[in-house]
Amino acid sequence: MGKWSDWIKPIVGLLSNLLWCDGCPADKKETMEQSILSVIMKIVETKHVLTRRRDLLAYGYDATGESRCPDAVVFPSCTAEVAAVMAAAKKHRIPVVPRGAGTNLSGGTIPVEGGIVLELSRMNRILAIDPANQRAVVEPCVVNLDLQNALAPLGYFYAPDPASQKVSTMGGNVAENSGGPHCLKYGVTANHILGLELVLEDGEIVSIGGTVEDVPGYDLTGLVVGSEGTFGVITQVTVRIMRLPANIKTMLAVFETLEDAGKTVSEIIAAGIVPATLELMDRAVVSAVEASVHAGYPLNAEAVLLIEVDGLPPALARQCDQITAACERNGAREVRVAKTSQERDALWLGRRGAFGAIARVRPRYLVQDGTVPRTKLAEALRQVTAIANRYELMVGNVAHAGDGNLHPLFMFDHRNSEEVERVHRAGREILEACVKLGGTLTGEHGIGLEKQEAMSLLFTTEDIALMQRIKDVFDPHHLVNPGKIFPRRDWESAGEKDNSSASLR
Amino acid sequence: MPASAKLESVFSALVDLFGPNAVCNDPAEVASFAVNGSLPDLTVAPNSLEQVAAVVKLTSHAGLAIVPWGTGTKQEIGGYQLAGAVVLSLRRLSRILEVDAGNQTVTCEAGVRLVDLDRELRREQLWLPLDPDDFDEATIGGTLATNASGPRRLRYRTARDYLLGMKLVTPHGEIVQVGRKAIKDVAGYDLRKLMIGAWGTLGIIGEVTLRLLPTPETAVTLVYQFANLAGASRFIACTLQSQLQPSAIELLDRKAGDSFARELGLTDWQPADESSLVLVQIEGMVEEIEYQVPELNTLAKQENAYLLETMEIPQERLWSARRRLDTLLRDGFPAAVKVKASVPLGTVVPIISEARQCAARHGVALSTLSHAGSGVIYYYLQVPGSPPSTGILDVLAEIGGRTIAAGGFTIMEYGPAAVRSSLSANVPRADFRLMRSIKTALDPAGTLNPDRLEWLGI
Repeated sequence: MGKWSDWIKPIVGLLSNLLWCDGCPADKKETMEQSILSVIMKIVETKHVLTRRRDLLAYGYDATGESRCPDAVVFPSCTAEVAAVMAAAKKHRIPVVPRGAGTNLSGGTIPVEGGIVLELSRMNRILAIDPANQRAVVEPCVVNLDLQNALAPLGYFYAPDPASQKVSTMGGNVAENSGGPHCLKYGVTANHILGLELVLEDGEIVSIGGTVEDVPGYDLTGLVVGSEGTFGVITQVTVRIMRLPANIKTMLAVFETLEDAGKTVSEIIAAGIVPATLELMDRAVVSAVEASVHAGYPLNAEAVLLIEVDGLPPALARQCDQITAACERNGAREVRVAKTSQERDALWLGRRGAFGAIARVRPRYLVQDGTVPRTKLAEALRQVTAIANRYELMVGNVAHAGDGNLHPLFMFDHRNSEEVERVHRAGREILEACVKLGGTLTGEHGIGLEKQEAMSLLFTTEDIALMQRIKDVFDPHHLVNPGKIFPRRDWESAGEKDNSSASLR
Repeated sequence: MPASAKLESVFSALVDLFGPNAVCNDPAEVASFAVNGSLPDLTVAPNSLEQVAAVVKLTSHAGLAIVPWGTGTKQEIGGYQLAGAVVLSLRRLSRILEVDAGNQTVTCEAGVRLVDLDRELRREQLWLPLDPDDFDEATIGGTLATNASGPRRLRYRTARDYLLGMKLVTPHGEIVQVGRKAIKDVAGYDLRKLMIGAWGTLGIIGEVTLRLLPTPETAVTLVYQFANLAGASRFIACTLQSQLQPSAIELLDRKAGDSFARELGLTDWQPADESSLVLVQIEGMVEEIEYQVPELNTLAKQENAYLLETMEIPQERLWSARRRLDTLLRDGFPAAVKVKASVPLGTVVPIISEARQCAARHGVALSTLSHAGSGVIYYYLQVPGSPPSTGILDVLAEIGGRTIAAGGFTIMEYGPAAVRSSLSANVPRADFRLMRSIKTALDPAGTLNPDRLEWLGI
């Protein structure tokens, strides 16, 4: 039992955070005009509009830990309501930020210019499951895992399985072009969307793509997937579903060094095997995970690989042998093959619980999403370690090793502003390192706010101007999730051209 | 400045930039770029991406239209006519820049032909599983621009699933890069998807980086004769719902089956009027083939299908014959009509059956091919000459109407312009307005392939 000040300090800190978020200084007086609010309340009913500050705070954040206060939170129940709210908002030039579960990791749902957070959680129905035509239709706030659970009894699945799938929503998955551990074999969200319904800034409802594979004209679906909620509000999604593989083999391989794990990854791929999953976790992450979910992972290994193959039984046997041989050739201490579905579930529990388990170590984490060509993964991990050491930061690594998608997790205390500063600088250096290795800033989490200033590492002025011209086609007044993706100075100069898009702040 | 003077000045400027060998306005030589009887005004063959950009800048500045050209295999689709255009040939951008076996990627210029790319990749046991009908001639740039695909799309999907990175030239003549070598990349808007299937109207694809697969260990194609479409349909549905992993399932109706059998000398193809031919390809590990062949034969036997003796025929010959069908089914019919339909895959056979019945009622000769597991149907109306009979128009109206009712889409690839409107009533759609706006935003002067837009519906 320490001094009472030891435990009162964190409580006071927590209360301070609740009372004062970054975007809500205590003296903030502006509120949305009552006339606009009453129009919106007529559309969705009064009880589905929130305006009290403590409620606004609850919808102005995401998984980055950043937050801003919107001016109102609105809960529409259907496309027509979304359209009416957008039309009303446009009339008064109020920005609208669509929100699903707010689990995104780049600031995508943070209302940086205030306005309305359009919370779609009431639109959470699975509208159709059509195995004969290998498709399903969902409303945007169907939780990814709920869709999986509805499809599994029919023998089907929806391939993209982001680690957040217990909470994240289909609309959010589409907006961020989510990946997940199984995208190595099956592709990302963009490879599984047949069509979308989108509501534009002025309330126009547009159907893009279709319910079949080849749709005439430009691939607007491909363009909207991954557009981070900046083109319009997604109000319906038609997805491709696939036959659930009946035969799966899941393995955990334990290594003494990250290099050995990396070499094994290369050898498995070079053997012509396309695993369903090839996930890497380092010692720091594994020890946090074990303390949290007790998945049975070994505590004294530098790296583990979670490997899964699926397909026809005779092929799986040979692939398992080849994978085990590759692991052993590279010094694997142990290769554990799950013999039952319970054992398989336990192995996955460890992987899926990774990010959440970090909270045991430090109150916050910053996770990077840099993606490099697979052969550069080991080098990228070396650089992550070096950067973390230089900035004296704790880091753990999860990686979609087969894709070259790193997830270094910097663990820190957000109340220590000096540590926060070091975390941000380390993060920036890692992005630079990934781009230098021939990779990209983000494999699945999106640019959002978090990486908008890093866009110039990858894109020239011409590249960005081209993207902005496309943004202007969908959202000429910059009302849909403004301030995201492009560097701030590009938003500022765009704002000068169109003075009518002032917010109500 | 009158058009001819504009052309003259552009021609001289191009000659100054690239030398006389890269530029041509001699009618005799330009004739090789004829499209449906029309000719370009001049052709230019730049040697590099920077040169492509220079051509576009110069030409768009002069207010002339540009038609990007790979090997021209699809230029005649849609009854396209060149009207005073500059053909920009990509034939000299034909370098394979890097084959990265460790990352299973290739970076190459847009003018590389698929068949040449395939040969290079197989040296490293790598493979790009795109197999459009014009595989032996088409370029990778053209294949991406037209989103061309073939039977293997069933298992391996299409171009948009393989493109990692692209350097393109915008209608303003700027070089823009979208994506590089990372397998997953969500930074910025996905302009790669926008360019695929844009038919060269939004930008000229100059260089691409593609994801590859390891070459399969072995492959087998089973060729079945079914007594009718219904039996074939049940077999296909059972296969798709099973754990089997066919690379391709092609459904050919009686007439298409006849052409295929004739090409390969398949004497045991002994069809009745309603018979259909199904090609099933399986690729992968030896164990996978050995497992799947008996399973497929069992499913086929349940429908009393007959397995044709094709085991001695090399895979490549079988599929090359399948690719040739597109030409064979149109050959000898100057006014042949070819329609592509994309429908829900459960409706493929009912829709084909109804189209065949309608064609029979109107005395119209109809053949169909389909990628049965992908919901793509190709209709070939073998029309001897113009003007088209009302029977033709009725069959097209039936095809169009039935497809729309199923939530699908049709597009006429070959056929007289007069006939196109029978296919479907053009309902103005909001998404096409967005497409037009994108075109205008990226190409306000209408420089790139402007005459292609009408056929695209934009």
